[in-house]
Amino acid sequence: MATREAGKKMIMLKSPDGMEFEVEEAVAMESQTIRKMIEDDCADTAILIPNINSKILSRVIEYCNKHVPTTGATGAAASDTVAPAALAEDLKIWDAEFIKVNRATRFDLIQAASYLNIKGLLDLTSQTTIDTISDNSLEEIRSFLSTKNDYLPEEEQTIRRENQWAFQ
Amino acid sequence: MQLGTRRRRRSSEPGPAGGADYLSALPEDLLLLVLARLGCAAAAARTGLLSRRWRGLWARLRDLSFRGLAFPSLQAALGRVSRPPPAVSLLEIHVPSQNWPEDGPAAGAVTSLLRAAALLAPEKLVFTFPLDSHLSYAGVDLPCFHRATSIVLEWIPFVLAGGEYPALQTLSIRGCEVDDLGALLSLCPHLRALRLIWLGGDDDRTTVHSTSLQELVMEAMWARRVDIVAPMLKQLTVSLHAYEQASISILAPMVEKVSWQCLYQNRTIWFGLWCLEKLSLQTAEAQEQLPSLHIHACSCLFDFSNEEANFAEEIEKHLVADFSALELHLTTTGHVFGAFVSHLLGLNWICSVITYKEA
Repeated sequence: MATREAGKKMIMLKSPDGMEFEVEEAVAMESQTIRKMIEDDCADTAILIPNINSKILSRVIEYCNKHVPTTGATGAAASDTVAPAALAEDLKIWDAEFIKVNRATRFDLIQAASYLNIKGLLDLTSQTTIDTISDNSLEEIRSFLSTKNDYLPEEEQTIRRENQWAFQ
Repeated sequence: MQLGTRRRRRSSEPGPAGGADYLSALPEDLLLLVLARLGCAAAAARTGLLSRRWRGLWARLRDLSFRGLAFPSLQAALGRVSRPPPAVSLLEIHVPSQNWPEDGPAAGAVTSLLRAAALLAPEKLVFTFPLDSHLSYAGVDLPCFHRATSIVLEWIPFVLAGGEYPALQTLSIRGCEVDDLGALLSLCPHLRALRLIWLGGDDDRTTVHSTSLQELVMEAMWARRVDIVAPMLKQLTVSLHAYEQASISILAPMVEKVSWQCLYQNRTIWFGLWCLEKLSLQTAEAQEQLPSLHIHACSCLFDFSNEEANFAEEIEKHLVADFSALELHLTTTGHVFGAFVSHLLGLNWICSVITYKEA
Protein backbone atom coordinates (compact mmCIF):
# COMPACT_ATOMS: atom_id res chain seq x y z
CA MET A 1 0.00 0.00 0.00
CA ALA A 2 1.03 3.62 -0.21
CA THR A 3 2.97 6.05 1.90
CA ARG A 4 2.67 7.07 5.50
CA GLU A 5 4.92 10.08 5.05
CA ALA A 6 2.40 12.79 5.54
CA GLY A 7 0.81 10.87 8.37
CA LYS A 8 -1.94 9.91 5.97
CA LYS A 9 -2.17 6.55 4.39
CA MET A 10 -3.22 6.68 0.76
CA ILE A 11 -5.06 4.05 -1.14
CA MET A 12 -5.71 3.51 -4.86
CA LEU A 13 -9.22 2.84 -6.14
CA LYS A 14 -9.63 1.57 -9.71
CA SER A 15 -12.77 1.73 -11.77
CA PRO A 16 -13.47 -0.96 -14.40
CA ASP A 17 -12.92 1.59 -17.17
CA GLY A 18 -9.29 1.88 -16.10
CA MET A 19 -9.30 5.13 -14.14
CA GLU A 20 -7.34 5.28 -10.90
CA PHE A 21 -8.16 7.46 -7.93
CA GLU A 22 -5.72 8.00 -5.11
CA VAL A 23 -7.60 8.75 -1.91
CA GLU A 24 -6.84 8.90 1.76
CA GLU A 25 -7.52 5.64 3.50
CA ALA A 26 -9.88 7.39 5.94
CA VAL A 27 -11.92 8.69 3.01
CA ALA A 28 -12.07 5.28 1.33
CA MET A 29 -13.10 3.75 4.63
CA GLU A 30 -16.31 5.76 4.58
CA SER A 31 -17.32 2.75 2.50
CA GLN A 32 -17.90 -0.17 4.84
CA THR A 33 -17.16 -2.53 1.97
CA ILE A 34 -13.71 -1.03 1.42
CA ARG A 35 -13.15 -0.77 5.17
CA LYS A 36 -13.73 -4.50 5.48
CA MET A 37 -11.32 -5.20 2.61
CA ILE A 38 -8.63 -3.09 4.25
CA GLU A 39 -9.21 -4.58 7.68
CA ASP A 40 -9.15 -8.09 6.28
CA ASP A 41 -5.92 -7.19 4.51
CA CYS A 42 -7.45 -7.92 1.12
CA ALA A 43 -6.39 -4.54 -0.20
CA ASP A 44 -3.06 -4.60 -2.02
CA THR A 45 -1.73 -1.74 -4.02
CA ALA A 46 -5.07 -0.94 -5.58
CA ILE A 47 -8.67 -1.91 -5.07
CA LEU A 48 -10.74 -2.61 -8.13
CA ILE A 49 -14.30 -1.40 -7.72
CA PRO A 50 -16.37 -3.47 -10.14
CA ASN A 51 -19.57 -2.18 -11.74
CA ILE A 52 -18.96 1.44 -10.83
CA ASN A 53 -17.66 3.56 -13.69
CA SER A 54 -15.18 6.35 -13.21
CA LYS A 55 -17.80 9.08 -13.51
CA ILE A 56 -19.87 7.65 -10.65
CA LEU A 57 -16.84 6.60 -8.61
CA SER A 58 -15.46 10.13 -8.72
CA ARG A 59 -18.80 11.45 -7.44
CA VAL A 60 -18.79 8.86 -4.65
CA ILE A 61 -15.25 9.86 -3.66
CA GLU A 62 -16.33 13.50 -3.70
CA TYR A 63 -19.13 12.58 -1.28
CA CYS A 64 -16.82 10.60 1.02
CA ASN A 65 -14.25 13.39 0.99
CA LYS A 66 -16.87 15.79 2.27
CA HIS A 67 -18.29 13.41 4.83
CA VAL A 68 -15.17 11.93 6.34
CA PRO A 69 -14.98 12.96 10.00
CA THR A 70 -12.43 15.71 10.27
CA THR A 71 -9.53 15.27 12.64
CA GLY A 72 -8.06 18.67 12.00
CA ALA A 73 -6.11 19.57 8.91
CA THR A 74 -7.64 17.24 6.36
CA GLY A 75 -8.39 20.04 3.99
CA ALA A 76 -12.10 19.62 4.42
CA ALA A 77 -14.27 22.59 5.23
CA ALA A 78 -14.58 21.71 8.88
CA SER A 79 -12.34 22.99 11.59
CA ASP A 80 -12.29 22.93 15.36
CA THR A 81 -13.79 26.36 15.50
CA VAL A 82 -17.00 25.38 13.71
CA ALA A 83 -19.87 24.32 15.92
CA PRO A 84 -21.26 20.82 15.23
CA ALA A 85 -24.70 22.22 14.42
CA ALA A 86 -23.29 24.64 11.87
CA LEU A 87 -21.21 21.82 10.42
CA ALA A 88 -24.29 19.62 10.05
CA GLU A 89 -26.15 22.47 8.40
CA ASP A 90 -23.26 23.03 6.01
CA LEU A 91 -23.27 19.32 5.13
CA LYS A 92 -27.01 19.39 4.52
CA ILE A 93 -26.68 22.27 2.08
CA TRP A 94 -23.75 20.55 0.41
CA ASP A 95 -25.75 17.29 0.12
CA ALA A 96 -28.69 19.10 -1.45
CA GLU A 97 -26.38 20.54 -4.12
CA PHE A 98 -24.56 17.25 -4.58
CA ILE A 99 -27.74 15.30 -5.33
CA LYS A 100 -28.92 17.72 -8.02
CA VAL A 101 -28.13 15.23 -10.75
CA ASN A 102 -30.14 13.59 -13.47
CA ARG A 103 -32.14 10.48 -12.73
CA ALA A 104 -29.74 8.06 -14.40
CA THR A 105 -26.85 9.36 -12.29
CA ARG A 106 -28.94 9.23 -9.13
CA PHE A 107 -29.85 5.60 -9.64
CA ASP A 108 -26.23 4.78 -10.43
CA LEU A 109 -25.34 6.49 -7.15
CA ILE A 110 -27.95 4.43 -5.26
CA GLN A 111 -26.43 1.24 -6.59
CA ALA A 112 -22.90 2.40 -5.91
CA ALA A 113 -23.83 3.44 -2.35
CA SER A 114 -25.43 0.07 -1.84
CA TYR A 115 -22.47 -1.90 -3.18
CA LEU A 116 -19.91 0.16 -1.31
CA ASN A 117 -22.13 0.26 1.77
CA ILE A 118 -22.05 3.99 2.43
CA LYS A 119 -25.05 4.58 4.63
CA GLY A 120 -25.18 8.37 4.37
CA LEU A 121 -25.08 8.33 0.58
CA LEU A 122 -27.67 5.56 0.42
CA ASP A 123 -29.96 7.53 2.72
CA LEU A 124 -29.48 10.68 0.67
CA THR A 125 -30.10 9.06 -2.71
CA SER A 126 -33.09 6.95 -1.65
CA GLN A 127 -34.69 9.79 0.29
CA THR A 128 -34.32 12.12 -2.69
CA THR A 129 -35.97 9.50 -4.87
CA ILE A 130 -38.88 8.98 -2.53
CA ASP A 131 -39.34 12.73 -2.16
CA THR A 132 -39.91 12.96 -5.87
CA ILE A 133 -42.71 10.40 -5.84
CA SER A 134 -44.52 10.79 -2.52
CA ASP A 135 -47.49 13.13 -2.53
CA ASN A 136 -48.07 12.64 -6.25
CA SER A 137 -50.82 10.76 -8.02
CA LEU A 138 -50.18 7.36 -9.58
CA GLU A 139 -50.30 8.84 -13.06
CA GLU A 140 -47.87 11.58 -12.08
CA ILE A 141 -45.48 9.06 -10.61
CA ARG A 142 -45.71 6.83 -13.64
CA SER A 143 -44.96 9.68 -16.00
CA PHE A 144 -42.25 10.84 -13.68
CA LEU A 145 -40.46 7.53 -13.43
CA SER A 146 -41.33 6.52 -16.99
CA THR A 147 -43.07 3.50 -15.53
CA LYS A 148 -45.29 1.69 -18.00
CA ASN A 149 -48.59 0.48 -16.57
CA ASP A 150 -48.55 -3.14 -17.67
CA TYR A 151 -51.67 -4.20 -15.76
CA LEU A 152 -54.85 -5.35 -17.42
CA PRO A 153 -57.82 -3.34 -16.17
CA GLU A 154 -59.19 -6.37 -14.27
CA GLU A 155 -55.81 -6.95 -12.61
CA GLU A 156 -55.81 -3.38 -11.45
CA GLN A 157 -59.26 -3.89 -9.95
CA THR A 158 -58.05 -7.00 -8.10
CA ILE A 159 -55.14 -5.13 -6.59
CA ARG A 160 -57.37 -2.29 -5.49
CA ARG A 161 -59.72 -4.80 -3.90
CA GLU A 162 -56.91 -6.68 -2.16
CA ASN A 163 -55.49 -3.49 -0.75
CA GLN A 164 -58.69 -1.63 -0.14
CA TRP A 165 -57.48 -0.75 3.35
CA ALA A 166 -54.69 1.33 1.82
CA PHE A 167 -56.97 3.36 -0.44
CA GLN A 168 -59.29 4.73 2.23
CA MET B 1 -55.19 8.77 -5.65
CA GLN B 2 -52.09 10.03 -4.00
CA LEU B 3 -49.30 8.24 -2.23
CA GLY B 4 -49.21 10.80 0.48
CA THR B 5 -51.97 12.63 2.20
CA ARG B 6 -50.88 16.12 1.25
CA ARG B 7 -50.67 17.55 -2.19
CA ARG B 8 -47.45 19.21 -2.94
CA ARG B 9 -45.74 20.74 -5.87
CA ARG B 10 -43.68 18.24 -7.70
CA SER B 11 -40.06 18.48 -6.70
CA SER B 12 -37.54 19.81 -9.12
CA GLU B 13 -36.59 16.62 -10.87
CA PRO B 14 -34.02 17.42 -13.51
CA GLY B 15 -34.95 16.47 -17.02
CA PRO B 16 -38.32 15.88 -18.59
CA ALA B 17 -40.40 12.77 -18.10
CA GLY B 18 -39.64 9.96 -20.45
CA GLY B 19 -36.68 7.71 -20.97
CA ALA B 20 -35.82 4.61 -19.02
CA ASP B 21 -37.57 3.56 -15.81
CA TYR B 22 -34.49 3.53 -13.64
CA LEU B 23 -36.30 3.04 -10.35
CA SER B 24 -38.20 -0.08 -11.40
CA ALA B 25 -34.95 -1.45 -12.78
CA LEU B 26 -33.27 -1.44 -9.39
CA PRO B 27 -32.74 -4.83 -7.73
CA GLU B 28 -35.54 -5.69 -5.33
CA ASP B 29 -33.58 -5.13 -2.14
CA LEU B 30 -32.73 -1.60 -3.26
CA LEU B 31 -36.25 -0.92 -4.41
CA LEU B 32 -37.48 -2.02 -0.99
CA LEU B 33 -34.95 0.27 0.62
CA VAL B 34 -36.32 3.21 -1.34
CA LEU B 35 -39.90 2.17 -0.61
CA ALA B 36 -39.12 1.92 3.10
CA ARG B 37 -38.32 5.64 3.01
CA LEU B 38 -42.03 6.35 2.60
CA GLY B 39 -42.31 5.36 6.26
CA CYS B 40 -45.93 4.37 5.73
CA ALA B 41 -47.21 0.92 4.85
CA ALA B 42 -50.39 2.25 3.24
CA ALA B 43 -48.50 4.62 0.93
CA ALA B 44 -46.12 1.79 0.07
CA ALA B 45 -49.08 -0.52 -0.65
CA ARG B 46 -50.54 2.05 -3.03
CA THR B 47 -47.42 1.89 -5.20
CA GLY B 48 -48.49 -1.68 -6.00
CA LEU B 49 -50.69 -0.15 -8.69
CA LEU B 50 -47.77 1.42 -10.58
CA SER B 51 -46.87 -1.70 -12.51
CA ARG B 52 -46.39 -5.43 -12.05
CA ARG B 53 -42.87 -4.83 -10.82
CA TRP B 54 -44.36 -3.08 -7.79
CA ARG B 55 -47.15 -5.51 -7.04
CA GLY B 56 -47.07 -6.78 -3.46
CA LEU B 57 -43.60 -5.30 -2.94
CA TRP B 58 -44.73 -3.37 0.15
CA ALA B 59 -45.66 -6.62 1.91
CA ARG B 60 -41.98 -7.57 1.94
CA LEU B 61 -40.85 -4.40 3.70
CA ARG B 62 -38.95 -5.14 6.89
CA ASP B 63 -40.28 -2.06 8.64
CA LEU B 64 -44.05 -1.65 8.55
CA SER B 65 -45.73 1.39 9.97
CA PHE B 66 -49.51 1.65 10.06
CA ARG B 67 -50.69 5.07 11.11
CA GLY B 68 -54.08 6.64 10.81
CA LEU B 69 -55.81 3.53 9.48
CA ALA B 70 -59.30 2.90 10.78
CA PHE B 71 -59.30 0.09 13.30
CA PRO B 72 -61.34 -2.36 11.15
CA SER B 73 -58.89 -1.94 8.25
CA LEU B 74 -55.89 -2.99 10.28
CA GLN B 75 -56.77 -6.64 10.42
CA ALA B 76 -57.11 -6.72 6.62
CA ALA B 77 -53.81 -4.89 6.25
CA LEU B 78 -51.86 -7.24 8.52
CA GLY B 79 -53.41 -10.18 6.72
CA ARG B 80 -51.70 -9.11 3.50
CA VAL B 81 -48.19 -8.86 4.91
CA SER B 82 -45.90 -11.70 3.83
CA ARG B 83 -45.36 -14.15 6.60
CA PRO B 84 -41.69 -14.42 7.48
CA PRO B 85 -39.38 -14.70 5.68
CA PRO B 86 -38.49 -11.95 5.22
CA ALA B 87 -38.60 -11.30 8.91
CA VAL B 88 -40.42 -8.18 10.02
CA SER B 89 -38.02 -5.93 11.84
CA LEU B 90 -40.39 -3.22 13.03
CA LEU B 91 -44.15 -3.44 13.24
CA GLU B 92 -45.68 -0.16 14.26
CA ILE B 93 -49.44 0.16 14.65
CA HIS B 94 -50.94 3.44 15.79
CA VAL B 95 -54.71 3.21 16.02
CA PRO B 96 -56.08 6.74 15.53
CA SER B 97 -58.90 8.37 17.43
CA GLN B 98 -62.16 7.55 15.75
CA ASN B 99 -65.85 7.20 16.40
CA TRP B 100 -65.80 4.18 18.61
CA PRO B 101 -68.92 2.34 19.65
CA GLU B 102 -70.05 3.57 23.05
CA ASP B 103 -68.16 0.89 24.96
CA GLY B 104 -65.05 1.19 22.79
CA PRO B 105 -63.67 -1.35 20.36
CA ALA B 106 -64.43 -4.96 21.18
CA ALA B 107 -61.71 -6.57 23.24
CA GLY B 108 -61.98 -9.66 21.05
CA ALA B 109 -61.13 -7.64 17.96
CA VAL B 110 -58.09 -6.13 19.68
CA THR B 111 -56.94 -9.58 20.77
CA SER B 112 -57.37 -10.82 17.24
CA LEU B 113 -55.29 -7.92 15.88
CA LEU B 114 -52.56 -8.60 18.43
CA ARG B 115 -52.53 -12.24 17.37
CA ALA B 116 -52.18 -11.21 13.73
CA ALA B 117 -49.26 -9.00 14.80
CA ALA B 118 -47.69 -11.88 16.75
CA LEU B 119 -47.88 -14.11 13.65
CA LEU B 120 -45.51 -11.71 11.90
CA ALA B 121 -43.00 -12.23 14.71
CA PRO B 122 -41.59 -8.68 14.67
CA GLU B 123 -38.31 -7.82 16.33
CA LYS B 124 -39.79 -4.55 17.49
CA LEU B 125 -43.44 -3.95 18.19
CA VAL B 126 -45.15 -0.63 18.75
CA PHE B 127 -48.89 -0.93 19.34
CA THR B 128 -50.76 2.11 20.53
CA PHE B 129 -54.38 2.95 21.04
CA PRO B 130 -55.51 6.52 21.58
CA LEU B 131 -56.40 7.68 25.05
CA ASP B 132 -60.08 7.99 24.10
CA SER B 133 -60.62 4.41 22.98
CA HIS B 134 -61.88 3.34 26.43
CA LEU B 135 -60.97 -0.23 25.85
CA SER B 136 -62.77 -2.28 28.40
CA TYR B 137 -60.58 -3.79 31.06
CA ALA B 138 -59.78 -7.47 30.76
CA GLY B 139 -60.51 -9.50 27.70
CA VAL B 140 -57.55 -8.36 25.63
CA ASP B 141 -54.99 -11.14 25.59
CA LEU B 142 -51.37 -10.24 25.05
CA PRO B 143 -49.95 -13.06 22.95
CA CYS B 144 -46.38 -14.22 22.96
CA PHE B 145 -43.93 -12.28 20.78
CA HIS B 146 -41.10 -14.73 20.80
CA ARG B 147 -38.68 -12.74 18.63
CA ALA B 148 -39.44 -9.28 19.98
CA THR B 149 -36.52 -7.43 21.55
CA SER B 150 -38.58 -4.31 22.10
CA ILE B 151 -42.28 -3.79 22.80
CA VAL B 152 -44.17 -0.52 23.27
CA LEU B 153 -47.83 -0.65 24.30
CA GLU B 154 -50.07 2.33 24.95
CA TRP B 155 -53.55 2.51 26.39
CA ILE B 156 -54.32 -1.17 26.03
CA PRO B 157 -55.56 -3.01 29.08
CA PHE B 158 -54.42 -6.58 28.78
CA VAL B 159 -54.07 -9.90 30.48
CA LEU B 160 -51.36 -12.39 29.74
CA ALA B 161 -52.12 -15.15 27.33
CA GLY B 162 -49.23 -17.27 28.48
CA GLY B 163 -45.88 -17.89 26.88
CA GLU B 164 -42.53 -16.23 27.40
CA TYR B 165 -40.93 -13.15 25.87
CA PRO B 166 -37.50 -14.75 25.68
CA ALA B 167 -35.80 -12.07 23.54
CA LEU B 168 -37.38 -9.01 25.11
CA GLN B 169 -34.89 -6.38 26.26
CA THR B 170 -36.95 -3.21 26.28
CA LEU B 171 -40.54 -2.87 27.40
CA SER B 172 -42.52 0.32 27.57
CA ILE B 173 -46.10 0.40 28.79
CA ARG B 174 -48.14 3.59 28.97
CA GLY B 175 -51.66 3.98 30.22
CA CYS B 176 -52.32 0.28 30.19
CA GLU B 177 -54.12 -1.58 32.86
CA VAL B 178 -51.97 -4.58 33.47
CA ASP B 179 -53.56 -7.53 35.09
CA ASP B 180 -50.41 -8.80 36.73
CA LEU B 181 -47.21 -6.86 36.14
CA GLY B 182 -45.19 -9.21 38.33
CA ALA B 183 -46.25 -12.19 36.24
CA LEU B 184 -45.50 -10.34 33.00
CA LEU B 185 -41.97 -9.52 34.12
CA SER B 186 -41.33 -13.08 35.21
CA LEU B 187 -41.94 -14.04 31.57
CA CYS B 188 -39.20 -11.65 30.37
CA PRO B 189 -35.94 -13.25 31.50
CA HIS B 190 -33.69 -10.88 29.52
CA LEU B 191 -35.41 -7.57 30.14
CA ARG B 192 -32.90 -4.74 30.51
CA ALA B 193 -35.01 -1.59 30.31
CA LEU B 194 -38.53 -1.11 31.59
CA ARG B 195 -40.64 2.00 31.26
CA LEU B 196 -43.95 2.24 33.10
CA ILE B 197 -46.04 5.33 32.55
CA TRP B 198 -49.43 6.04 33.99
CA LEU B 199 -50.07 2.44 34.73
CA GLY B 200 -53.23 1.15 36.29
CA GLY B 201 -54.03 -2.17 37.79
CA ASP B 202 -56.71 -3.60 39.95
CA ASP B 203 -54.92 -2.94 43.22
CA ASP B 204 -52.50 -0.05 42.51
CA ARG B 205 -49.69 -2.43 43.19
CA THR B 206 -46.45 -1.98 41.26
CA THR B 207 -44.31 -5.05 41.53
CA VAL B 208 -41.05 -5.05 39.61
CA HIS B 209 -38.98 -8.10 40.32
CA SER B 210 -36.31 -8.77 37.73
CA THR B 211 -32.86 -10.25 37.90
CA SER B 212 -31.86 -8.80 34.51
CA LEU B 213 -33.24 -5.27 34.69
CA GLN B 214 -30.69 -2.45 34.40
CA GLU B 215 -32.86 0.58 33.74
CA LEU B 216 -36.23 1.37 35.23
CA VAL B 217 -38.40 4.38 34.50
CA MET B 218 -41.66 4.91 36.35
CA GLU B 219 -43.65 8.02 35.50
CA ALA B 220 -46.93 9.24 36.93
CA MET B 221 -47.39 6.19 39.10
CA TRP B 222 -49.05 5.80 42.49
CA ALA B 223 -46.76 5.60 45.47
CA ARG B 224 -48.78 2.73 46.77
CA ARG B 225 -47.29 -0.67 47.19
CA VAL B 226 -44.21 -0.04 45.08
CA ASP B 227 -42.11 -3.15 45.34
CA ILE B 228 -38.86 -3.29 43.37
CA VAL B 229 -36.32 -6.06 43.57
CA ALA B 230 -33.70 -5.63 40.86
CA PRO B 231 -30.21 -6.75 41.79
CA MET B 232 -28.67 -5.56 38.47
CA LEU B 233 -30.44 -2.20 38.31
CA LYS B 234 -28.14 0.72 37.45
CA GLN B 235 -30.54 3.53 36.55
CA LEU B 236 -33.72 4.42 38.33
CA THR B 237 -36.00 7.28 37.25
CA VAL B 238 -39.20 7.57 39.22
CA SER B 239 -41.98 10.09 39.57
CA LEU B 240 -44.73 9.14 41.99
CA HIS B 241 -47.95 10.60 43.29
CA ALA B 242 -48.99 9.97 46.85
CA TYR B 243 -52.47 10.54 48.22
CA GLU B 244 -51.66 8.95 51.52
CA GLN B 245 -48.63 7.45 53.17
CA ALA B 246 -46.41 5.85 50.58
CA SER B 247 -45.60 2.21 50.67
CA ILE B 248 -42.26 1.63 49.02
CA SER B 249 -39.83 -1.23 49.14
CA ILE B 250 -36.73 -1.18 46.97
CA LEU B 251 -33.88 -3.60 46.76
CA ALA B 252 -31.40 -2.43 44.12
CA PRO B 253 -27.87 -2.61 45.52
CA MET B 254 -26.11 -1.80 42.21
CA VAL B 255 -28.01 1.36 41.42
CA GLU B 256 -25.75 4.24 40.33
CA LYS B 257 -28.01 6.86 38.88
CA VAL B 258 -31.20 7.88 40.64
CA SER B 259 -33.75 10.52 39.82
CA TRP B 260 -36.58 10.20 42.28
CA GLN B 261 -39.57 12.41 42.88
CA CYS B 262 -42.76 12.07 44.84
CA LEU B 263 -45.60 14.57 44.96
CA TYR B 264 -47.84 14.52 48.02
CA GLN B 265 -51.15 15.76 46.83
CA ASN B 266 -53.55 15.42 49.70
CA ARG B 267 -51.79 17.13 52.57
CA THR B 268 -51.52 13.90 54.42
CA ILE B 269 -48.04 14.06 55.89
CA TRP B 270 -47.60 16.58 58.70
CA PHE B 271 -45.16 17.76 61.26
CA GLY B 272 -46.88 20.32 63.42
CA LEU B 273 -47.88 23.15 61.10
CA TRP B 274 -45.83 21.77 58.23
CA CYS B 275 -47.14 19.59 55.53
CA LEU B 276 -45.03 17.72 53.01
CA GLU B 277 -45.58 18.74 49.38
CA LYS B 278 -42.81 17.24 47.38
CA LEU B 279 -39.69 15.27 47.81
CA SER B 280 -36.94 14.58 45.35
CA LEU B 281 -33.68 12.73 45.40
CA GLN B 282 -31.07 13.11 42.70
CA THR B 283 -27.71 11.52 42.26
CA ALA B 284 -25.04 13.75 40.76
CA GLU B 285 -25.30 14.33 37.02
CA ALA B 286 -22.04 16.19 36.66
CA GLN B 287 -18.85 16.15 38.66
CA GLU B 288 -19.42 19.44 40.44
CA GLN B 289 -22.86 18.38 41.56
CA LEU B 290 -23.69 16.62 44.79
CA PRO B 291 -26.25 13.90 45.25
CA SER B 292 -29.04 15.79 46.90
CA LEU B 293 -32.34 15.46 48.71
CA HIS B 294 -34.92 18.20 48.29
CA ILE B 295 -37.81 18.53 50.68
CA HIS B 296 -40.64 20.92 49.84
CA ALA B 297 -43.00 21.74 52.66
CA CYS B 298 -45.46 24.49 53.42
CA SER B 299 -46.89 25.76 56.66
CA CYS B 300 -50.64 25.90 56.88
CA LEU B 301 -51.90 27.86 59.85
CA PHE B 302 -55.52 27.22 59.06
CA ASP B 303 -55.29 23.64 58.03
CA PHE B 304 -53.76 21.94 60.95
CA SER B 305 -53.88 18.19 60.94
CA ASN B 306 -54.56 16.38 64.16
CA GLU B 307 -53.38 13.17 62.65
CA GLU B 308 -49.65 13.63 62.76
CA ALA B 309 -48.07 11.09 60.52
CA ASN B 310 -44.44 10.44 61.11
CA PHE B 311 -42.81 12.99 58.82
CA ALA B 312 -39.32 11.57 59.12
CA GLU B 313 -40.45 8.03 58.61
CA GLU B 314 -42.28 9.07 55.45
CA ILE B 315 -39.21 10.78 54.01
CA GLU B 316 -37.04 7.84 54.86
CA LYS B 317 -39.13 5.64 52.57
CA HIS B 318 -37.76 7.57 49.60
CA LEU B 319 -34.09 7.43 50.48
CA VAL B 320 -33.17 4.93 47.84
CA ALA B 321 -29.67 6.35 47.39
CA ASP B 322 -27.12 8.17 49.52
CA PHE B 323 -27.11 11.93 49.37
CA SER B 324 -24.74 14.58 50.65
CA ALA B 325 -26.75 17.75 50.18
CA LEU B 326 -30.11 18.56 51.71
CA GLU B 327 -32.23 21.39 50.39
CA LEU B 328 -35.28 22.50 52.28
CA HIS B 329 -37.81 24.49 50.31
CA LEU B 330 -40.13 25.96 52.90
CA THR B 331 -43.14 28.06 52.03
CA THR B 332 -44.38 30.01 54.99
CA THR B 333 -45.85 33.36 55.88
CA GLY B 334 -44.02 33.55 59.18
CA HIS B 335 -40.68 32.47 60.51
CA VAL B 336 -41.69 29.52 62.53
CA PHE B 337 -39.57 26.88 60.96
CA GLY B 338 -37.05 26.52 63.75
CA ALA B 339 -38.62 23.49 65.38
CA PHE B 340 -39.28 21.88 62.04
CA VAL B 341 -35.75 22.32 60.78
CA SER B 342 -34.15 21.12 63.96
CA HIS B 343 -36.44 18.13 63.87
CA LEU B 344 -35.15 17.27 60.38
CA LEU B 345 -31.54 17.96 61.23
CA GLY B 346 -31.75 15.78 64.26
CA LEU B 347 -32.69 12.76 62.22
CA ASN B 348 -30.18 9.99 62.20
CA TRP B 349 -29.97 9.82 58.37
CA ILE B 350 -28.60 13.32 58.28
CA CYS B 351 -25.01 13.46 59.49
CA SER B 352 -23.98 16.90 58.40
CA VAL B 353 -25.75 19.42 56.30
CA ILE B 354 -23.81 20.80 53.39
CA THR B 355 -26.34 23.01 51.65
CA TYR B 356 -29.10 24.85 53.38
CA LYS B 357 -31.51 27.04 51.51
CA GLU B 358 -34.57 28.88 52.53
CA ALA B 359 -37.17 29.62 49.93
